[in-house]
Formats: sequence, structure tokens, C-alpha cells
Amino acid sequence: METETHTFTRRRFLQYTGALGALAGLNRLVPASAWPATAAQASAATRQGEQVIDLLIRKQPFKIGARQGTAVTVNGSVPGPLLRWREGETVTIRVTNQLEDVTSIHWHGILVPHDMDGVPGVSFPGIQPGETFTYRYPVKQSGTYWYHSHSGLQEQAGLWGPLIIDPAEPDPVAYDREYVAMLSDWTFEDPHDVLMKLKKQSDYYNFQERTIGDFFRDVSEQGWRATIADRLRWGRMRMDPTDIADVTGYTYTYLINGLPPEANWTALFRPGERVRLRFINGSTMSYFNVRIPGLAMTVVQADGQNVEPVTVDEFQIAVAETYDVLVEPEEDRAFTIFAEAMDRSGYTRGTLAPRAGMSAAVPKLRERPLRTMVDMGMDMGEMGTMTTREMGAHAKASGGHAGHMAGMGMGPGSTAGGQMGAMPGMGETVGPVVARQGPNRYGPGTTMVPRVVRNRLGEPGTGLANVGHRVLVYTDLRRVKPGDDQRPPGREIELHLTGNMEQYMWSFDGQKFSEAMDPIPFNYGERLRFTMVNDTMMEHPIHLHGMFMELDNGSGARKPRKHTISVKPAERVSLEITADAPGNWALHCHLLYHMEWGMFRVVNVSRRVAEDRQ
Amino acid sequence: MITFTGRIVGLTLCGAALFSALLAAPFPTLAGQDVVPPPPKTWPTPVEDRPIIGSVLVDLLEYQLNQGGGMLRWEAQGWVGGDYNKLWVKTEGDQGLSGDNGGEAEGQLLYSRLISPFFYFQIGGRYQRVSGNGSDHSRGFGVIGVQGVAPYWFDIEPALFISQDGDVSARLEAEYELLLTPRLIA
Repeated sequence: METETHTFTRRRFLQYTGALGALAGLNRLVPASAWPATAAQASAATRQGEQVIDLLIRKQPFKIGARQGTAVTVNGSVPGPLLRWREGETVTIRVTNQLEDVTSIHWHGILVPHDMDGVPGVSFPGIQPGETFTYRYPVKQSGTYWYHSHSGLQEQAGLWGPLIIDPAEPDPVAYDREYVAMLSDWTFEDPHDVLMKLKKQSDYYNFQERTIGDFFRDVSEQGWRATIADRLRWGRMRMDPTDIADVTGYTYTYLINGLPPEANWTALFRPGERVRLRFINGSTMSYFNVRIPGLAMTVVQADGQNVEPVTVDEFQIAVAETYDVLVEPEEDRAFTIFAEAMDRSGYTRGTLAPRAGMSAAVPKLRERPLRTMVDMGMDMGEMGTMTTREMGAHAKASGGHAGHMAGMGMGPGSTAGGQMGAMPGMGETVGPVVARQGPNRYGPGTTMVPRVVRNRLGEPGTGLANVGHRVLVYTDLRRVKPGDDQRPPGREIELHLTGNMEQYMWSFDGQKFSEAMDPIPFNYGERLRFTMVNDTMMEHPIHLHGMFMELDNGSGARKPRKHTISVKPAERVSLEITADAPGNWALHCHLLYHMEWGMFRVVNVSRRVAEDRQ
Repeated sequence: MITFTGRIVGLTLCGAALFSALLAAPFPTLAGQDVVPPPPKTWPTPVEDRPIIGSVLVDLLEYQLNQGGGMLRWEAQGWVGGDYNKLWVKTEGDQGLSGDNGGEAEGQLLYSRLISPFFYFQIGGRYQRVSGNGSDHSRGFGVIGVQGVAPYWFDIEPALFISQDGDVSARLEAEYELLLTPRLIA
């Protein structure tokens, strides 16, 4: 019975996709109708400045191609319904839990009262089985966002969906039509099995490790000496340069709007139109590199915040980030929207086409990238024999070049603003060293502490250093309007991202959440500088609830506001925060399995009782 | 003159009040709303980062058919516990499966503590049984050792044993994995 219902939903989904041809004349609001039937239901109650939305969470069979798994669905679909609100209205969302476990919905990037934030154990006790919880709050912002479960591993099982808020004022971004392109990673395995496998063998899903064959290939390309030196260098540290993603295409099917690549999700356009694509990375563990061969993309929004337009050919989207881009296809032909997993173990794709049923060439997956000695926090001046492959991987830095950069270190604890950031030259960037670090004092839960950390905001991200076209970097992002709070930060909080890949332990400052349950205090009303240092060799998308973080990327008063910031390996990055939201807020790595194993903190924004005594 | 000074002071005060009012504007200080206690301890934990889990790894399981009958060889380890503390079991041996074919079997039960990013400290007991040729005997040992991954990816397990008779012995096992292919069936 459930299967039938489900199949029905899927078919409806596909029908809608297919029906786009018929809807093409409706232009602007196509995506709302392009979403599954349930989306229309969810938004049906939209009236008179107050939306009342009912969301039902339950377990259902879920089919991709011929394979069937079990998903946690919202109103019967994966993704959940597209929620579309207007800035200034008040929304009421009644969430009913038909699971056997506690559930929740968190509104990612939305500024809500703290008891509406939907994090069990932080903002409320969670939604018990059989219970209905009513969220109600005023919508104080606009842009592209998403929502997802904050309970256990339900997010991996399908509990996520897009959320778009139209601005109260006319949208400064002009476009003829728009589509949501929500990326995700689906596994037919039980998410708990994935979690346990990582714990028992952290490289379980990595099938791109270097083999004897790779060794001899490197020998023939680089010679014995360089190859052996390279293998010894990684071996000495007990690190694996192929460790790009913990969970890979071996188990994941990468989806766009809930559809696998074969389903060819299609967004229609008329040649000459300006199309807005709202990319949301709703993945559990997967970064994507996104490009549309043949079309330049103009980024106009990041994490729901309008930014000064910047035109690129490719961008990396970290887990939980959103980017809105404009494309203007002039030709009467199809274009492939290609989202390649960062470790290149798989991809998903959609098609931009003038008519339904078309497709364009799908690019081949590029060769898997490798971690570099920069990711390891090695001082490049010390390195001597670096293999040419590594050189290529991080920007063809010549020996002398590297030595120069190592010399730019500013001593422990020092930071560099974006003005020191990028070396000129597209895609040929290794950021400057901004601090040197001492030995690892975090205990056995932390494998290493990078010797040097850099400002890497001008770098395009793993695997994109030498792709030969324009790639978005964080230093490109400038907010359209200056920020409201231009006070200089009154104090600085420094947090280290730490982990032990071998034991699959993840933490902040060497401590899992269970070892550091006391909240990090933010003083209500203060402006503070929040500095993160990534002491691991992986990217971590760090998400702060309740308040935006303004990325100190050298754009002065126009620091871009982010709800999620991807911190690169061996990077030191600073953000400024106005602590204007009293309450308890989650701060965590948005890689779900990192969060679940302890890379999580609670921030308490409050007027301090000590102040009262003054 | 005095009046003039007073006026300036007044203006300054007024300016300061206005300034602080402007600053305070986005931060309402309604009684109680801006003083927030940490989440109640009665709520469930937001993440479950302390699970007890277990793992079993069989390194060797081999059946040999000899003239005198079948022989079983095995080597296996398993553990159960959390991130820092585990109970570790190791067993290995070879055992004749027919009649009076003897064999040698041993098991270790160890408390293991993660003492560095790559190494566990282990302490516990080992029980060894040798049989065959009518000379069955068994011995108990105390065990102290470490286990983990040494630089250059060598899995090592050095251990020191003290038998019930006071004999001291040591053992070093090392293993290196070389990948011919990341997976057998692509």
C-alpha cells in the first residue's frame, strides 16, 4: 500500500518534470509547480500574510531506478516539499511525527527565536513519536535556504527540502525564470551501518587509494627518488593523500532534486532568457564541484545573501551551502548541469534545455585529486623534494616560490586579512602562511596539528587549482550592502577543528561534545571575532545557528554573511559575529557523521549574570 | 564661564545617551529575554558521540588436510568499547581436528586504552593450551603491550608476557598492507 502511494508520488514528480514543456509559458514561478504534488499542498494554506503549513514525517519505501530503499519523507516525498515564503509574513508550521523515533526540523540559515530552531537537546526536547509540534515565527529575511532533520541520521535518510523566501522589496536580481537545483547524496545502506563502518575502518568507502600500479606510474612520470620521497612523507605521518571524502560514490547515488543522473532532471528555458538556478547542497557528506559546460554562471547570492555579481565557470559548494547563479543561454540547445562529487567518485547532472526530452554531452569524471603538503600544514620551505604531481595540485608552486611564501609567516596567533590573501593569477594560488603552531596538545583524539596554517580564502578548493577556467573563491564574495554592525570586534574566540581519522574521532579543540557540554558563551549584543583553525586534513563546513557569520575575506564593510563556512585543511579563518540572538544555538560541522561523532558545540548567547552584578 | 562648561558637559552627556540608545536599539533588553540559561540537562543529548561498539577481524582461518587428518589454523581479534577504552580479545592457534592430533591455542583478554592518536596501551591476561602426544598442558600469562599503527603504516603489536612460572617472553607482530588494487571486483 505504502509502495503504491510512493510510486504514485514518484510518478507525479516525473510527470511534473515532464510537464514543464506545458508550463513553460508560465515562466517565473515554474519551480514551485515543478516540485512534487505535495509541495503544492504544503503551500496551499498560504493566505493573508500568514502561512499555515502541515508537514508529516514518516518512513516510506523509496525507489531510485530499479532499487528500492527506505526513506524518511516529508509529506511523502524526497526531497520534502518546496516551502516558499515572503519576507515579513509570519509562518506557522505544524510538524507531525509518525516515526518511531524523535524527530525535528531545523530551518537552515533562518533567523528564528531560539526555541523555534529545531535542534533537539539545544532548542527544544524534539518532536516525540505521534506528537505534532508547532513552529511559528516571523520571516525576517529573504533568499535561498533549506530545512532538514536535526535528529540522529534522519537527514541521510531523506529528511530535507528547499526553502525559498521572496524579498519584501522587489528582488534586486532580475531573471526570467528560476529553478531550485538541490544536490544530495543517497545511500541504500542503513545510515547507522555507514556510521559504524567508518568507526571500525575509516577508509572503508575509499576505493581510490594509491596502489602499486599508481606507484609505478608515478615512478615513470617523476622518477624513483621523488616517488619514494613522496610515499615516505605521507607514510611517516600515517596520512592518506587520497582521503578526500569519508563516504563516496561506492555507496552514494548523487541526486539533483531527488533524481539520479539517469533521470535527467530538466529545467526549461527559451534562448535569450535569464535563468536563475538556486543551488542548495543538501548532502550529508558530499561537496560538489558544479559547472555547466558552455555557459558562464554569475553568482548573485551565497547562503541566501545577495552578493555583488561575480562570473565564474565552476564553483565548489560545501555541504549545507547555497549559491544562486544566473545563466543566459543564447543557443537553442541543451546544456548539462554537472555536479561532480569533490572526490570524483561520482556525479549527478541535470539538463537546461529549450524543450523537454533533450540532453547534452555529460562530461567524464576528472581524475581524483590528492591532498597536498599544504593541506597537511607543512612549511613548504622545508619540503625539498615535492613531487611534480603535488606541485600541480597546488598551483605549480616552484621551490623558490614556496620558500617565499613560507617566509610570509607572521608568527603564532597572528592573522592576515584578505588584503594579504590571494596571489594573483587564476587558479594558481596558495594562500600565505598566517600562523605557526606548536606540538599537538589535544590528546589522542587529535592526529596532528599543522605546523603552519594559511589564509586559504583565495584558493578555489580541492581539485580545482588548475582546471583552466574561472572558479569561485571566497575572496570573490562581497555583500551588496555594507553590514549593519561595523563595530570592531570586542574580543576573539578561537576554535580548533580537530580529529583523528584513524579512529574516526571528530572534535573541537580535541574534545568531543560529550567531553565539553558547557556552552561557549557569547555576550548578548557584543560584536566578536570568531577564528577557526582547521587542524585536520579535510574540509569542514562549519555551521552556526541563529546568527550569520561575516567572513573576513578582505572586503572591508562588505564582508559576506555566511551560515556555513567551509574551512579548508590547515586553514585559519576569521569571521565576525554580532551576538544579537539570545538563546542556545548549535555550532557544528555539517558533515553529518562528523557532527554525530562529536564535532558539535552549544553557543549560549545571553546577557551575562556577571554584568548584572556590576 | 561656568555655565558654558556646564552646557558642554550637558551636550556630551546627551550625545552619549543618544549614541548608546542607537547602539542599544537592535538589542532589546526586555526583562528576562536576554538572559538565557543553558539547555536543561533533562533534554536528550543533541548528538550521540559515546556509543559502545564492537568489531571482529579474522586475519586467518585456514583448514589444512594432512596425512594425519585435518588441521584448523586461525588468527582473530575483536574489541568492544568506546573511543578511549576498549575490551580487546585476541585468539590464535592451530588445532588438529581428529583423534589425538594435538595443537596449540591461545587467547588474550586485554583492557585497551587509547594513549596516543595511533596507539592503544594494553594490559590483561593470556591463556595458552598445548595438546597432543599425551603432554597436554596449559599456562597463564600476564600481558602488557601496545597496539597500533607505526609511521610508514606498519601495524605493530609488541607485547611482554610473564608466565605463571615467572618466565618473561616478548613478541612483536608487524604487518604491512600493499594494495594491488583498491577492489577485486570493480
